[in-house]
Amino acid sequence: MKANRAIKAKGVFINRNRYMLLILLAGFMLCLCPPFLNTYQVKFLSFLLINILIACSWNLIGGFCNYFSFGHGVFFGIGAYAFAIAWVRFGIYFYLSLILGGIMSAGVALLMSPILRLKGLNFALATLALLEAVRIIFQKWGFTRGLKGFDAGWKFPMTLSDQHFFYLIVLVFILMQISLVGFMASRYGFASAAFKEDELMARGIGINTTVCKILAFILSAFWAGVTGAIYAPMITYISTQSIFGINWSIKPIVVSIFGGIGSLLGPIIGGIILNAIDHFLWERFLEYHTLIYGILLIAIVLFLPKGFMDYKDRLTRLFQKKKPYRPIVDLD
Amino acid sequence: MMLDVIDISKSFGGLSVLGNVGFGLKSGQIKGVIGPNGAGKTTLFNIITGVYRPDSGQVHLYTNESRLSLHCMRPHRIAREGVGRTFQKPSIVWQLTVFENALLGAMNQHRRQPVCGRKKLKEWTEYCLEAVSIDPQMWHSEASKVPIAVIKKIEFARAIALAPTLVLFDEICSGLSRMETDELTALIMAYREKEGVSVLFVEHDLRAVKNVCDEVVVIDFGRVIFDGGIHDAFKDPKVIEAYIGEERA
Repeated sequence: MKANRAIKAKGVFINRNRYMLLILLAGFMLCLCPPFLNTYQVKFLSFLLINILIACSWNLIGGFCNYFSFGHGVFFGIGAYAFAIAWVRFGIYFYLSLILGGIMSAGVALLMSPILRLKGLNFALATLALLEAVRIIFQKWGFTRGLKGFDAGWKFPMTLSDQHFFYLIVLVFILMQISLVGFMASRYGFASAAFKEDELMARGIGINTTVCKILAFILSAFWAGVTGAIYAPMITYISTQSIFGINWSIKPIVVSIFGGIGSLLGPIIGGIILNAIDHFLWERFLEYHTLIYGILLIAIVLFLPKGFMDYKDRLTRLFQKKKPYRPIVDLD
Repeated sequence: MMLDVIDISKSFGGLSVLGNVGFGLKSGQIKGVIGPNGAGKTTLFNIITGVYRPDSGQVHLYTNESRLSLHCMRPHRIAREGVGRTFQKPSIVWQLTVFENALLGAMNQHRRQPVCGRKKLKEWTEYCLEAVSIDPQMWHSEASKVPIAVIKKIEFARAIALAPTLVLFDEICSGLSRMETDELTALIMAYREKEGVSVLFVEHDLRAVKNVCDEVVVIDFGRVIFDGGIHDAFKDPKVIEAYIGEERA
Protein backbone atom coordinates (compact mmCIF):
# COMPACT_ATOMS: atom_id res chain seq x y z
CA MET A 1 0.00 0.00 0.00
CA LYS A 2 2.59 2.46 1.13
CA ALA A 3 5.02 1.07 -1.37
CA ASN A 4 2.80 2.29 -4.17
CA ARG A 5 2.64 5.87 -2.99
CA ALA A 6 5.34 7.34 -5.16
CA ILE A 7 4.13 5.84 -8.37
CA LYS A 8 0.48 6.38 -7.67
CA ALA A 9 0.85 9.98 -6.70
CA LYS A 10 3.89 10.58 -8.87
CA GLY A 11 2.90 14.16 -8.49
CA VAL A 12 5.11 15.20 -5.73
CA PHE A 13 3.08 16.48 -2.91
CA ILE A 14 -0.39 15.20 -3.28
CA ASN A 15 -2.51 12.28 -4.29
CA ARG A 16 -3.82 13.23 -7.68
CA ASN A 17 -7.20 11.49 -7.62
CA ARG A 18 -8.07 12.59 -4.12
CA TYR A 19 -7.21 16.18 -4.98
CA MET A 20 -9.26 16.15 -8.17
CA LEU A 21 -12.22 14.79 -6.23
CA LEU A 22 -11.80 17.52 -3.64
CA ILE A 23 -11.77 20.21 -6.31
CA LEU A 24 -14.80 18.82 -8.13
CA LEU A 25 -16.66 18.61 -4.84
CA ALA A 26 -15.73 22.18 -3.95
CA GLY A 27 -16.80 23.38 -7.40
CA PHE A 28 -20.12 21.56 -7.11
CA MET A 29 -20.77 23.06 -3.67
CA LEU A 30 -19.96 26.52 -4.98
CA CYS A 31 -22.40 26.05 -7.85
CA LEU A 32 -25.16 25.30 -5.37
CA CYS A 33 -24.57 28.52 -3.47
CA PRO A 34 -25.94 31.42 -5.58
CA PRO A 35 -29.70 30.87 -5.03
CA PHE A 36 -29.19 31.30 -1.30
CA LEU A 37 -27.02 34.39 -1.52
CA ASN A 38 -27.77 38.02 -2.26
CA THR A 39 -26.07 39.92 -5.05
CA TYR A 40 -23.43 41.37 -2.80
CA GLN A 41 -22.39 37.99 -1.47
CA VAL A 42 -22.21 36.53 -4.94
CA LYS A 43 -20.01 39.40 -6.01
CA PHE A 44 -17.81 38.97 -2.96
CA LEU A 45 -17.36 35.28 -3.69
CA SER A 46 -16.51 36.08 -7.32
CA PHE A 47 -13.76 38.49 -6.28
CA LEU A 48 -12.49 35.95 -3.80
CA LEU A 49 -12.27 33.32 -6.52
CA ILE A 50 -10.52 35.75 -8.87
CA ASN A 51 -7.89 36.30 -6.19
CA ILE A 52 -7.50 32.58 -5.73
CA LEU A 53 -7.24 31.99 -9.47
CA ILE A 54 -4.42 34.46 -9.98
CA ALA A 55 -2.64 33.23 -6.86
CA CYS A 56 -2.83 29.65 -8.07
CA SER A 57 -1.44 30.60 -11.45
CA TRP A 58 1.40 32.51 -9.78
CA ASN A 59 2.09 29.58 -7.50
CA LEU A 60 2.89 27.36 -10.48
CA ILE A 61 5.87 29.45 -11.56
CA GLY A 62 6.66 31.13 -8.23
CA GLY A 63 6.01 28.26 -5.87
CA PHE A 64 6.71 25.06 -7.74
CA CYS A 65 9.52 26.33 -9.94
CA ASN A 66 10.93 28.88 -7.51
CA TYR A 67 10.81 31.77 -9.97
CA PHE A 68 9.55 34.67 -7.93
CA SER A 69 7.74 36.73 -10.50
CA PHE A 70 6.92 40.28 -9.42
CA GLY A 71 5.23 40.97 -12.71
CA HIS A 72 2.52 38.38 -12.84
CA GLY A 73 0.06 41.24 -13.31
CA VAL A 74 1.41 41.54 -16.86
CA PHE A 75 -0.35 38.35 -17.89
CA PHE A 76 -3.47 39.29 -16.00
CA GLY A 77 -3.51 42.65 -17.75
CA ILE A 78 -2.73 41.33 -21.21
CA GLY A 79 -5.55 38.83 -20.81
CA ALA A 80 -7.94 41.61 -19.86
CA TYR A 81 -6.87 43.87 -22.72
CA ALA A 82 -6.84 41.08 -25.30
CA PHE A 83 -10.37 40.22 -24.24
CA ALA A 84 -11.44 43.86 -24.44
CA ILE A 85 -10.03 44.37 -27.91
CA ALA A 86 -11.33 41.07 -29.23
CA TRP A 87 -14.82 41.45 -27.83
CA VAL A 88 -15.49 45.18 -28.06
CA ARG A 89 -13.48 46.17 -31.10
CA PHE A 90 -13.74 43.06 -33.24
CA GLY A 91 -16.98 41.68 -31.89
CA ILE A 92 -15.66 38.17 -31.41
CA TYR A 93 -17.87 35.70 -29.56
CA PHE A 94 -17.69 36.24 -25.78
CA TYR A 95 -16.32 32.88 -24.66
CA LEU A 96 -13.89 32.73 -27.55
CA SER A 97 -12.56 36.13 -26.49
CA LEU A 98 -11.97 34.78 -22.98
CA ILE A 99 -9.81 32.00 -24.35
CA LEU A 100 -8.10 34.46 -26.68
CA GLY A 101 -7.11 36.48 -23.61
CA GLY A 102 -5.43 33.40 -22.19
CA ILE A 103 -3.73 32.55 -25.46
CA MET A 104 -2.36 36.07 -25.88
CA SER A 105 -0.88 35.90 -22.37
CA ALA A 106 0.62 32.50 -23.05
CA GLY A 107 2.11 33.87 -26.28
CA VAL A 108 3.70 36.78 -24.47
CA ALA A 109 5.05 34.35 -21.89
CA LEU A 110 6.58 32.28 -24.66
CA LEU A 111 8.20 35.39 -26.15
CA MET A 112 9.49 36.40 -22.72
CA SER A 113 10.76 32.95 -21.83
CA PRO A 114 14.45 33.92 -22.21
CA ILE A 115 14.14 35.81 -18.92
CA LEU A 116 13.85 32.42 -17.26
CA ARG A 117 17.61 32.25 -17.60
CA LEU A 118 17.82 34.79 -14.81
CA LYS A 119 17.50 33.57 -11.29
CA GLY A 120 16.33 34.79 -7.92
CA LEU A 121 16.41 38.55 -7.47
CA ASN A 122 17.43 39.20 -11.06
CA PHE A 123 14.38 37.39 -12.32
CA ALA A 124 12.15 39.29 -9.90
CA LEU A 125 13.59 42.60 -11.11
CA ALA A 126 13.26 41.62 -14.75
CA THR A 127 9.59 40.76 -14.32
CA LEU A 128 9.01 44.03 -12.47
CA ALA A 129 10.62 45.87 -15.38
CA LEU A 130 8.49 43.88 -17.81
CA LEU A 131 5.37 45.01 -15.96
CA GLU A 132 6.37 48.66 -16.23
CA ALA A 133 7.34 48.33 -19.88
CA VAL A 134 4.08 46.65 -20.86
CA ARG A 135 2.08 49.19 -18.86
CA ILE A 136 3.72 52.09 -20.67
CA ILE A 137 3.25 50.45 -24.07
CA PHE A 138 -0.43 49.93 -23.37
CA GLN A 139 -0.73 53.51 -22.13
CA LYS A 140 0.77 55.09 -25.22
CA TRP A 141 -0.58 52.81 -27.88
CA GLY A 142 -3.64 53.92 -29.82
CA PHE A 143 -4.65 50.34 -30.53
CA THR A 144 -5.21 49.71 -26.84
CA ARG A 145 -6.93 53.10 -26.44
CA GLY A 146 -4.05 54.45 -24.44
CA LEU A 147 -4.48 57.85 -26.13
CA LYS A 148 -0.99 59.10 -25.32
CA GLY A 149 -0.87 59.59 -21.62
CA PHE A 150 -4.37 59.73 -20.41
CA ASP A 151 -6.25 56.60 -20.37
CA ALA A 152 -9.49 56.11 -22.19
CA GLY A 153 -9.80 52.53 -21.06
CA TRP A 154 -12.45 50.09 -22.14
CA LYS A 155 -16.09 50.03 -21.11
CA PHE A 156 -18.11 46.87 -21.38
CA PRO A 157 -21.84 46.55 -21.80
CA MET A 158 -23.57 44.56 -19.09
CA THR A 159 -24.43 41.31 -20.78
CA LEU A 160 -24.20 38.68 -18.11
CA SER A 161 -25.68 38.69 -14.65
CA ASP A 162 -23.48 38.44 -11.55
CA GLN A 163 -24.61 34.89 -11.03
CA HIS A 164 -23.66 34.00 -14.56
CA PHE A 165 -20.17 35.39 -13.98
CA PHE A 166 -19.94 33.44 -10.77
CA TYR A 167 -20.70 30.15 -12.51
CA LEU A 168 -18.19 31.02 -15.20
CA ILE A 169 -15.47 31.67 -12.64
CA VAL A 170 -16.22 28.42 -10.84
CA LEU A 171 -15.92 26.59 -14.15
CA VAL A 172 -12.56 28.24 -14.85
CA PHE A 173 -11.48 27.43 -11.31
CA ILE A 174 -12.20 23.74 -11.81
CA LEU A 175 -10.55 23.59 -15.24
CA MET A 176 -7.51 25.41 -13.94
CA GLN A 177 -7.07 23.13 -10.94
CA ILE A 178 -7.39 20.08 -13.16
CA SER A 179 -4.73 21.40 -15.50
CA LEU A 180 -2.45 22.34 -12.59
CA VAL A 181 -2.76 18.92 -10.98
CA GLY A 182 -2.28 17.30 -14.36
CA PHE A 183 0.89 19.30 -14.89
CA MET A 184 2.26 18.64 -11.43
CA ALA A 185 1.55 14.94 -11.75
CA SER A 186 3.26 14.74 -15.12
CA ARG A 187 6.96 14.16 -15.49
CA TYR A 188 7.47 17.87 -16.07
CA GLY A 189 5.88 18.76 -12.76
CA PHE A 190 7.79 16.02 -11.00
CA ALA A 191 11.00 17.30 -12.55
CA SER A 192 10.30 20.78 -11.21
CA ALA A 193 10.92 19.44 -7.71
CA ALA A 194 14.41 18.49 -8.86
CA PHE A 195 15.45 21.71 -10.58
CA LYS A 196 13.96 23.76 -7.77
CA GLU A 197 16.45 22.04 -5.49
CA ASP A 198 19.50 22.12 -7.76
CA GLU A 199 19.47 22.89 -11.44
CA LEU A 200 22.89 21.43 -12.21
CA MET A 201 21.83 18.17 -10.65
CA ALA A 202 18.56 18.13 -12.57
CA ARG A 203 20.35 18.56 -15.88
CA GLY A 204 22.90 15.96 -14.89
CA ILE A 205 20.20 13.32 -14.49
CA GLY A 206 18.67 14.01 -17.85
CA ILE A 207 15.97 16.55 -17.14
CA ASN A 208 15.46 19.18 -19.82
CA THR A 209 15.02 22.05 -17.41
CA THR A 210 14.42 24.65 -20.10
CA VAL A 211 11.37 22.87 -21.46
CA CYS A 212 9.97 22.26 -17.98
CA LYS A 213 10.33 25.90 -17.01
CA ILE A 214 8.87 27.27 -20.22
CA LEU A 215 5.89 24.92 -20.02
CA ALA A 216 5.21 25.98 -16.44
CA PHE A 217 5.60 29.64 -17.37
CA ILE A 218 3.20 29.36 -20.30
CA LEU A 219 0.58 27.45 -18.34
CA SER A 220 0.87 29.95 -15.52
CA ALA A 221 0.49 32.89 -17.92
CA PHE A 222 -2.42 31.28 -19.74
CA TRP A 223 -4.53 30.96 -16.60
CA ALA A 224 -3.58 34.42 -15.42
CA GLY A 225 -4.72 35.71 -18.82
CA VAL A 226 -8.05 33.91 -18.64
CA THR A 227 -8.56 35.28 -15.13
CA GLY A 228 -7.90 38.80 -16.39
CA ALA A 229 -10.26 38.25 -19.30
CA ILE A 230 -13.09 37.32 -16.95
CA TYR A 231 -12.30 40.06 -14.50
CA ALA A 232 -12.55 42.76 -17.18
CA PRO A 233 -16.24 42.39 -18.14
CA MET A 234 -17.10 41.64 -14.53
CA ILE A 235 -16.06 45.08 -13.32
CA THR A 236 -17.30 46.58 -16.66
CA TYR A 237 -14.44 49.08 -16.97
CA ILE A 238 -10.67 48.64 -17.25
CA SER A 239 -7.82 51.06 -17.66
CA THR A 240 -4.06 50.60 -17.61
CA GLN A 241 -3.85 52.15 -14.15
CA SER A 242 -6.23 49.69 -12.60
CA ILE A 243 -5.15 46.59 -14.51
CA PHE A 244 -1.39 47.03 -14.79
CA GLY A 245 -0.96 48.39 -11.28
CA ILE A 246 1.52 46.69 -8.97
CA ASN A 247 -1.49 45.53 -6.97
CA TRP A 248 -2.26 42.60 -9.23
CA SER A 249 1.33 41.43 -9.05
CA ILE A 250 1.69 41.67 -5.30
CA LYS A 251 -1.64 40.11 -4.41
CA PRO A 252 -0.93 36.61 -5.69
CA ILE A 253 2.44 36.61 -3.95
CA VAL A 254 0.96 37.62 -0.61
CA VAL A 255 -1.84 35.10 -0.91
CA SER A 256 0.53 32.29 -1.89
CA ILE A 257 3.06 33.05 0.83
CA PHE A 258 0.29 33.23 3.35
CA GLY A 259 -1.26 29.96 2.30
CA GLY A 260 1.93 28.09 1.63
CA ILE A 261 4.19 28.35 -1.36
CA GLY A 262 4.63 25.27 -3.49
CA SER A 263 1.53 23.41 -2.41
CA LEU A 264 -1.58 23.06 -4.51
CA LEU A 265 -4.00 23.87 -1.72
CA GLY A 266 -1.91 26.69 -0.27
CA PRO A 267 -3.09 29.62 -2.44
CA ILE A 268 -6.72 28.47 -2.17
CA ILE A 269 -6.67 28.43 1.61
CA GLY A 270 -4.58 31.59 1.75
CA GLY A 271 -7.01 33.38 -0.55
CA ILE A 272 -10.03 32.38 1.52
CA ILE A 273 -8.51 33.38 4.85
CA LEU A 274 -6.98 36.65 3.66
CA ASN A 275 -10.18 37.76 1.96
CA ALA A 276 -12.21 36.81 5.01
CA ILE A 277 -9.92 38.82 7.28
CA ASP A 278 -9.90 41.73 4.90
CA HIS A 279 -13.67 41.74 4.62
CA PHE A 280 -14.24 41.40 8.35
CA LEU A 281 -11.87 44.26 9.14
CA TRP A 282 -13.30 46.46 6.44
CA GLU A 283 -16.77 46.00 7.92
CA ARG A 284 -15.78 46.72 11.52
CA PHE A 285 -12.93 49.21 11.32
CA LEU A 286 -13.40 51.12 8.13
CA GLU A 287 -10.76 53.75 8.84
CA TYR A 288 -7.99 51.58 10.19
CA HIS A 289 -8.65 48.41 8.32
CA THR A 290 -5.52 48.47 6.16
CA LEU A 291 -3.39 49.16 9.23
CA ILE A 292 -4.82 46.25 11.19
CA TYR A 293 -4.69 44.08 8.08
CA GLY A 294 -1.00 44.85 7.68
CA ILE A 295 -0.20 44.12 11.30
CA LEU A 296 -2.10 40.85 11.15
CA LEU A 297 -0.22 39.88 8.00
CA ILE A 298 3.12 40.52 9.66
CA ALA A 299 2.09 38.55 12.73
CA ILE A 300 0.88 35.59 10.72
CA VAL A 301 3.92 35.45 8.49
CA LEU A 302 6.08 35.73 11.61
CA PHE A 303 4.46 32.75 13.27
CA LEU A 304 3.82 30.66 10.18
CA PRO A 305 6.79 31.45 7.93
CA LYS A 306 6.09 28.48 5.68
CA GLY A 307 2.50 29.51 5.20
CA PHE A 308 -0.75 28.25 6.50
CA MET A 309 -0.29 24.76 5.08
CA ASP A 310 2.41 24.36 7.68
CA TYR A 311 -0.05 24.66 10.56
CA LYS A 312 -0.07 20.92 11.27
CA ASP A 313 3.66 20.89 11.83
CA ARG A 314 3.49 23.96 14.01
CA LEU A 315 0.61 22.74 16.12
CA THR A 316 2.09 19.32 16.66
CA ARG A 317 5.38 20.89 17.65
CA LEU A 318 3.59 23.14 20.12
CA PHE A 319 1.48 20.52 21.82
CA GLN A 320 3.51 17.39 21.49
CA LYS A 321 5.90 16.27 24.15
CA LYS A 322 9.42 16.07 22.88
CA LYS A 323 10.09 12.55 21.76
CA PRO A 324 13.45 11.05 22.58
CA TYR A 325 15.71 10.87 19.55
CA ARG A 326 15.29 7.63 17.73
CA PRO A 327 17.74 6.84 14.98
CA ILE A 328 16.17 5.59 11.80
CA VAL A 329 18.63 2.79 11.27
CA ASP A 330 20.66 0.87 13.74
CA LEU A 331 24.26 1.61 13.14
CA ASP A 332 25.67 -1.58 14.57
CA MET B 1 38.05 2.78 -26.65
CA MET B 2 34.89 3.87 -24.92
CA LEU B 3 35.55 7.45 -23.96
CA ASP B 4 38.17 9.55 -25.62
CA VAL B 5 39.23 12.82 -24.06
CA ILE B 6 41.43 14.72 -26.48
CA ASP B 7 43.48 17.77 -25.51
CA ILE B 8 40.93 19.47 -23.30
CA SER B 9 41.77 23.00 -22.20
CA LYS B 10 39.64 25.18 -20.01
CA SER B 11 40.28 28.42 -18.23
CA PHE B 12 38.10 30.63 -16.09
CA GLY B 13 39.00 34.26 -16.59
CA GLY B 14 42.78 34.28 -16.49
CA LEU B 15 43.05 31.08 -14.51
CA SER B 16 43.90 28.05 -16.59
CA VAL B 17 42.28 25.07 -14.91
CA LEU B 18 42.91 22.35 -17.47
CA GLY B 19 45.63 22.37 -20.09
CA ASN B 20 45.75 19.78 -22.84
CA VAL B 21 44.28 16.99 -20.77
CA GLY B 22 43.83 13.79 -22.71
CA PHE B 23 43.26 10.16 -21.86
CA GLY B 24 41.19 7.22 -22.97
CA LEU B 25 38.85 4.85 -21.20
CA LYS B 26 38.31 1.31 -22.43
CA SER B 27 34.97 -0.41 -22.39
CA GLY B 28 34.27 -2.01 -19.03
CA GLN B 29 37.22 -0.35 -17.39
CA ILE B 30 37.29 1.50 -14.09
CA LYS B 31 39.64 4.43 -14.25
CA GLY B 32 40.54 6.56 -11.28
CA VAL B 33 41.12 10.28 -11.67
CA ILE B 34 43.21 11.49 -8.79
CA GLY B 35 45.20 14.55 -7.93
CA PRO B 36 45.62 17.12 -5.18
CA ASN B 37 42.91 19.63 -4.32
CA GLY B 38 42.24 22.13 -7.08
CA ALA B 39 43.88 19.99 -9.71
CA GLY B 40 40.85 20.29 -11.99
CA LYS B 41 39.18 16.93 -11.51
CA THR B 42 35.67 18.25 -11.01
CA THR B 43 36.11 20.67 -13.90
CA LEU B 44 37.05 17.71 -16.07
CA PHE B 45 33.88 15.93 -14.99
CA ASN B 46 31.82 19.00 -15.69
CA ILE B 47 33.27 19.18 -19.19
CA ILE B 48 32.57 15.51 -19.90
CA THR B 49 28.97 15.88 -18.70
CA GLY B 50 28.45 19.08 -20.66
CA VAL B 51 28.09 21.57 -17.84
CA TYR B 52 31.03 23.54 -19.23
CA ARG B 53 32.17 23.84 -22.81
CA PRO B 54 35.89 23.27 -23.21
CA ASP B 55 37.94 26.15 -24.66
CA SER B 56 39.56 23.65 -26.98
CA GLY B 57 39.69 19.92 -27.38
CA GLN B 58 37.16 17.19 -27.85
CA VAL B 59 35.35 14.52 -25.88
CA HIS B 60 34.02 11.50 -27.75
CA LEU B 61 31.81 8.76 -26.44
CA TYR B 62 31.71 5.56 -28.47
CA THR B 63 28.66 3.38 -28.23
CA ASN B 64 27.77 0.33 -30.28
CA GLU B 65 26.10 2.35 -32.95
CA SER B 66 27.81 5.64 -33.13
CA ARG B 67 30.28 8.21 -31.93
CA LEU B 68 28.94 11.09 -29.90
CA SER B 69 30.75 14.39 -29.51
CA LEU B 70 30.04 15.24 -25.92
CA HIS B 71 31.85 18.57 -26.05
CA CYS B 72 29.06 20.14 -28.05
CA MET B 73 26.03 18.56 -26.41
CA ARG B 74 23.85 19.88 -23.64
CA PRO B 75 23.97 18.20 -20.21
CA HIS B 76 20.56 16.57 -20.27
CA ARG B 77 21.19 15.12 -23.74
CA ILE B 78 24.46 13.64 -22.55
CA ALA B 79 22.74 12.14 -19.52
CA ARG B 80 20.07 10.60 -21.71
CA GLU B 81 22.67 9.15 -24.05
CA GLY B 82 23.95 7.12 -21.13
CA VAL B 83 26.38 9.11 -19.03
CA GLY B 84 25.33 8.91 -15.40
CA ARG B 85 27.06 10.92 -12.74
CA THR B 86 27.07 11.61 -9.06
CA PHE B 87 27.86 14.93 -7.49
CA GLN B 88 30.62 16.07 -5.22
CA LYS B 89 28.20 17.78 -2.90
CA PRO B 90 25.32 15.41 -2.24
CA SER B 91 22.53 16.93 -4.27
CA ILE B 92 19.26 15.13 -4.01
CA VAL B 93 15.77 16.44 -3.44
CA TRP B 94 15.47 16.36 0.30
CA GLN B 95 11.71 16.51 0.65
CA LEU B 96 11.15 13.56 -1.66
CA THR B 97 11.46 9.96 -0.60
CA VAL B 98 14.40 7.73 -1.44
CA PHE B 99 12.28 5.99 -4.04
CA GLU B 100 11.12 9.21 -5.66
CA ASN B 101 14.69 10.45 -5.92
CA ALA B 102 15.67 7.36 -7.85
CA LEU B 103 12.52 7.77 -9.92
CA LEU B 104 13.71 11.22 -10.99
CA GLY B 105 16.59 9.56 -12.80
CA ALA B 106 14.61 6.57 -13.97
CA MET B 107 12.00 8.61 -15.79
CA ASN B 108 14.65 10.05 -18.10
CA GLN B 109 15.97 6.67 -19.12
CA HIS B 110 15.67 6.18 -22.85
CA ARG B 111 18.37 3.69 -23.63
CA ARG B 112 17.49 0.24 -22.44
CA GLN B 113 13.85 0.00 -23.38
CA PRO B 114 11.29 2.71 -23.40
CA VAL B 115 10.18 2.66 -19.81
CA CYS B 116 6.71 3.96 -20.24
CA GLY B 117 3.76 3.10 -18.11
CA ARG B 118 3.87 3.38 -14.38
CA LYS B 119 4.33 -0.31 -13.73
CA LYS B 120 7.44 -0.58 -15.89
CA LEU B 121 8.85 2.60 -14.43
CA LYS B 122 8.28 1.33 -10.92
CA GLU B 123 9.92 -2.00 -11.66
CA TRP B 124 12.90 -0.29 -13.20
CA THR B 125 13.33 2.03 -10.21
CA GLU B 126 13.07 -0.90 -7.82
CA TYR B 127 15.66 -2.77 -9.83
CA CYS B 128 18.06 0.17 -9.53
CA LEU B 129 17.49 0.56 -5.81
CA GLU B 130 18.11 -3.15 -5.33
CA ALA B 131 21.28 -2.94 -7.39
CA VAL B 132 22.75 -0.50 -4.87
CA SER B 133 21.32 -2.57 -2.00
CA ILE B 134 19.32 0.06 -0.21
CA ASP B 135 17.18 -1.57 2.45
CA PRO B 136 13.58 -1.72 1.06
CA GLN B 137 12.30 -0.53 4.41
CA MET B 138 14.01 2.75 3.76
CA TRP B 139 12.67 3.32 0.25
CA HIS B 140 9.75 5.34 1.38
CA SER B 141 11.30 7.45 4.07
CA GLU B 142 12.10 11.05 3.35
CA ALA B 143 15.56 11.61 1.91
CA SER B 144 16.40 14.23 4.56
CA LYS B 145 16.04 11.59 7.25
CA VAL B 146 18.33 8.87 5.98
CA PRO B 147 22.05 8.55 6.82
CA ILE B 148 24.80 9.82 4.54
CA ALA B 149 25.76 6.36 3.32
CA VAL B 150 22.25 5.91 1.95
CA ILE B 151 22.35 9.38 0.39
CA LYS B 152 25.44 8.32 -1.55
CA LYS B 153 23.68 5.14 -2.60
CA ILE B 154 20.69 7.18 -3.81
CA GLU B 155 23.02 9.17 -6.03
CA PHE B 156 24.48 5.94 -7.31
CA ALA B 157 21.02 4.49 -7.95
CA ARG B 158 19.90 7.65 -9.71
CA ALA B 159 22.95 7.57 -11.96
CA ILE B 160 22.46 3.92 -12.96
CA ALA B 161 18.73 4.50 -13.42
CA LEU B 162 19.71 6.18 -16.69
CA ALA B 163 20.95 2.78 -17.89
CA PRO B 164 24.33 4.33 -18.55
CA THR B 165 27.30 3.03 -20.48
CA LEU B 166 29.58 5.35 -18.57
CA VAL B 167 29.26 6.32 -14.92
CA LEU B 168 31.20 9.16 -13.33
CA PHE B 169 31.66 9.17 -9.58
CA ASP B 170 32.71 12.47 -8.11
CA GLU B 171 34.15 11.78 -4.66
CA ILE B 172 31.38 9.42 -3.76
CA CYS B 173 33.28 8.06 -0.77
CA SER B 174 33.86 11.39 0.95
CA GLY B 175 32.34 11.54 4.40
CA LEU B 176 31.93 7.77 4.67
CA SER B 177 33.52 5.48 7.21
CA ARG B 178 35.98 2.83 6.15
CA MET B 179 33.35 0.12 6.28
CA GLU B 180 30.85 2.10 4.28
CA THR B 181 33.51 2.94 1.72
CA ASP B 182 34.30 -0.74 1.31
CA GLU B 183 30.64 -1.57 0.84
CA LEU B 184 30.20 1.14 -1.77
CA THR B 185 33.31 0.20 -3.74
CA ALA B 186 32.20 -3.43 -3.69
CA LEU B 187 28.85 -2.32 -5.09
CA ILE B 188 30.53 -0.35 -7.85
CA MET B 189 32.66 -3.32 -8.85
CA ALA B 190 29.70 -5.69 -8.72
CA TYR B 191 27.69 -3.35 -10.92
CA ARG B 192 30.54 -3.15 -13.40
CA GLU B 193 30.71 -6.95 -13.54
CA LYS B 194 26.99 -7.23 -14.10
CA GLU B 195 26.39 -4.47 -16.64
CA GLY B 196 29.81 -4.03 -18.19
CA VAL B 197 29.79 -0.26 -17.82
CA SER B 198 32.87 1.93 -17.83
CA VAL B 199 33.55 4.01 -14.78
CA LEU B 200 35.45 7.20 -14.12
CA PHE B 201 36.18 7.51 -10.45
CA VAL B 202 37.35 10.73 -8.81
CA GLU B 203 38.37 10.14 -5.25
CA HIS B 204 40.66 11.43 -2.54
CA ASP B 205 40.57 8.21 -0.58
CA LEU B 206 43.54 6.44 -2.15
CA ARG B 207 42.67 3.18 -0.47
CA ALA B 208 39.34 3.14 -2.25
CA VAL B 209 41.07 4.02 -5.52
CA LYS B 210 43.47 1.11 -5.11
CA ASN B 211 40.57 -1.22 -4.38
CA VAL B 212 38.46 -0.26 -7.33
CA CYS B 213 40.48 1.03 -10.22
CA ASP B 214 42.24 -0.82 -13.00
CA GLU B 215 44.03 2.25 -14.21
CA VAL B 216 44.54 5.73 -12.94
CA VAL B 217 45.06 9.20 -14.35
CA VAL B 218 46.90 11.62 -12.11
CA ILE B 219 46.22 15.30 -12.66
CA ASP B 220 48.18 18.10 -11.10
CA PHE B 221 47.61 21.80 -11.85
CA GLY B 222 45.43 20.89 -14.80
CA ARG B 223 47.93 18.62 -16.49
CA VAL B 224 48.08 14.86 -16.78
CA ILE B 225 51.28 13.74 -15.04
CA PHE B 226 50.60 10.03 -15.10
CA ASP B 227 48.35 7.66 -17.01
CA GLY B 228 48.65 3.96 -16.53
CA GLY B 229 48.30 0.94 -14.25
CA ILE B 230 47.34 1.55 -10.68
CA HIS B 231 50.38 -0.14 -9.16
CA ASP B 232 52.88 1.83 -11.13
CA ALA B 233 51.23 5.10 -10.23
CA PHE B 234 52.49 5.31 -6.69
CA LYS B 235 56.05 4.48 -7.71
CA ASP B 236 56.17 7.29 -10.20
CA PRO B 237 58.38 10.11 -8.90
CA LYS B 238 56.16 12.82 -10.41
CA VAL B 239 53.08 11.47 -8.64
CA ILE B 240 54.91 11.23 -5.34
CA GLU B 241 56.11 14.77 -5.78
CA ALA B 242 52.62 16.05 -6.47
CA TYR B 243 51.18 14.31 -3.46
CA ILE B 244 53.92 14.54 -0.87
CA GLY B 245 56.32 17.14 -2.19
CA GLU B 246 59.84 17.06 -3.54
CA GLU B 247 62.41 15.16 -1.64
CA ARG B 248 65.04 17.45 -0.19
CA ALA B 249 68.50 16.48 -1.17
